[in-house]
Amino acid sequence: MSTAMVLNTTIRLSPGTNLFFYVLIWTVCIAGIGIVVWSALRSKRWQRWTTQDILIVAALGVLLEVYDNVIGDQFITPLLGGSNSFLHFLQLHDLPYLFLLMVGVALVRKPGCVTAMVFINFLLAALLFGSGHGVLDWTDGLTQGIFCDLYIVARRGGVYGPNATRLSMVLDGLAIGILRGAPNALLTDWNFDPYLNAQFYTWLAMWKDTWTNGLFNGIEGAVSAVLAQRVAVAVIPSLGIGKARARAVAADPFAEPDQQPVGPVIAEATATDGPAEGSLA
Amino acid sequence: MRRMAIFFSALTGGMLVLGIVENLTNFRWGAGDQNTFFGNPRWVLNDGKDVLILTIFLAIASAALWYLALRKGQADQRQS
Repeated sequence: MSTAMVLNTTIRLSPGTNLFFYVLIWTVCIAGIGIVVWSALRSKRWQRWTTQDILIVAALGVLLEVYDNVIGDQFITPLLGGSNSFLHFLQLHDLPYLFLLMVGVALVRKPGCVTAMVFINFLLAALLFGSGHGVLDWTDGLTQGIFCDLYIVARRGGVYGPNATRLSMVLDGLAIGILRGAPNALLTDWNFDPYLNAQFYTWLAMWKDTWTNGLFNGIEGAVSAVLAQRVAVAVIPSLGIGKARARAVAADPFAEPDQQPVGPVIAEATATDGPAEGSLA
Repeated sequence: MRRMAIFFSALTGGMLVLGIVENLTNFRWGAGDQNTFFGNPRWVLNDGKDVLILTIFLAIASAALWYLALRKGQADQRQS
């Protein structure tokens, strides 16, 4: 059988196999939520969620829904030539969505923020347009956010943290965009649609949906990351994103020791740079 | 925070106007764009009503952000 024939084969698994994968996805989602909740509540790497964080996440969740189903669907997608156009293939309609998501991440910077925003967006969409299967459809919303939050946990406070650089923000945006787009597209074509909606895909369609969503959402996340940081700092000037590194760069090498700002990066810098000119050590 | 609250308020105003217009014109209803509220097939809404419901949520979000902005302002005043 040639590769082309395999790619054009429709994926039709038995109901039992689909159920197995569906339960497996739920298990992964619940385990992911467990890790994220533990990190948010127990880990010392992050401060606890505040009222301000919860309100910001709720507001941005609503804004994501406003963009996703009103501004995006009614204005942006038609401007880009409809849902079958090349620009839609490039996922260009997702650029403002990823920007808003990255603003939320930059403002909150704690595990759970992506899943919370995306899930509020998902629940509002289900309220307004009907999701079809109620709770059974929740995996569709969860798989858009939980992997991003697991990435934030894995970065151990590095996402928009005090030591963040432009490059690290861009790479974080890339990872968050890929993790938002690719797993959900893959699982939708592989399991959710075939099992819940009797809608089947070919291997080629599944591959195309996965890579386009992953790559282009990743690029959009990377492009949005630095701008999102600027917006976040404009909204809350006291955010410490990249402050430690900026202080390290701006530190006066000839300053008296007691006048130097204290921080882990400064300590590292002075330890590795060796003694300053004229010092006794 | 104040800027964000202003942005949300302006967007709420825009959405309110859009919702009223789309509701009055029964926007895209004829093209089959009919939305079941919470999946209930007996409660079918047009796009305008959906936008108006979303406007209510956006207004609540705006109010929350104004609350945060004003609370922050009061805290800053107390510090100075």
